Amino acid sequence: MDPKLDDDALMIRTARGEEAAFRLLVQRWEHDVLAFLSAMLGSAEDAEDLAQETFVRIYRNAGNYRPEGMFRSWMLRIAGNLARSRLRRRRIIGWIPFDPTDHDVADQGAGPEAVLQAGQTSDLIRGALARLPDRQREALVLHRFQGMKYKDIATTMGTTLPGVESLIQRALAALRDELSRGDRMP
Amino acid sequence: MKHVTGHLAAYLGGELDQPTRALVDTHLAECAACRAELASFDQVWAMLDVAAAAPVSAGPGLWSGVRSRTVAVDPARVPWFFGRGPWTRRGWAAVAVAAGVFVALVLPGGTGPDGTGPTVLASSDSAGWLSSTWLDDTSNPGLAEQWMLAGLDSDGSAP
Repeated sequence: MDPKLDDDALMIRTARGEEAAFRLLVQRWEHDVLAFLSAMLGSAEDAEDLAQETFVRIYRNAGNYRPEGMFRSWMLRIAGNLARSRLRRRRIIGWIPFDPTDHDVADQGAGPEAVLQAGQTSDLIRGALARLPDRQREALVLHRFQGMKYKDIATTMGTTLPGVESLIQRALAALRDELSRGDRMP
Repeated sequence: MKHVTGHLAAYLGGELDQPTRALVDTHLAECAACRAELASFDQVWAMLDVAAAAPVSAGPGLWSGVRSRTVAVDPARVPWFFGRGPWTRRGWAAVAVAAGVFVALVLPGGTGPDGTGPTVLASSDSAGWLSSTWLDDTSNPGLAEQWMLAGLDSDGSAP
């Protein structure tokens, strides 16, 4: 990528008030932020709401951003903080966190049976994810849905490498146990 | 050798360093219990891949919602007496409300203040042009970058 258009350069220009630079950043990252929030929250509506809030906060804090090549971690840290806050609020009011109808599994060239099965698997796993402790879910989602390495997850979540390894290990074991209970493993 | 169940997620994710990975491989070759554990984790791993592949698309309202709360708010057009910080604005808004109440109560026939909050105006000049060119065109993800690069001066400033 041209360095004039990398994330740090766009953030510097966003801080100067250049709309086009900010728009390009949003365009570049909106899918990642939505996918992360959707997996964290289990609700497309909430994901879009918090994605909007994430980008608003990015804009408002553009002047404080340090261009050290860590934009994605910084952005997902903001999104993660917002998601955990929303999840805490849900628990207080007893909100049920997962709505399988929110997740649209489109035909990606596979036959209808495969699409149906993929949709059911996706719903199952997202339902099980919704029952994980927040930190475990966040680490696992960053790793498997965002493709982040443990080192970057540690930076994003403000923890250590062994901490990330432990979170993901426990998350995977909990998911396996949850899915095994209902005999829903393939 | 000690079981390696604590390393299996990192093993599957390719996060172990080479010496640790070699130790885990050696142990797995000898330990049926850890192999069974790995197989069960592997199934969850595959299910996570399916879930991660489910498309998530941004609705058309995302950018317009973000824009209306960020770049469309032109701080230069906020009256100076409301300041730029939220507390300054709230403070002056409270003063304006109090003054309005005072005028209404003490001066019969007087009118209250006609604005108690910051004037937030959308900048409409560049917005319409930008959105009609590439800002809302999601069919070609590289178009925006090409447009910006073409418009950049040699010093990297915006077009």
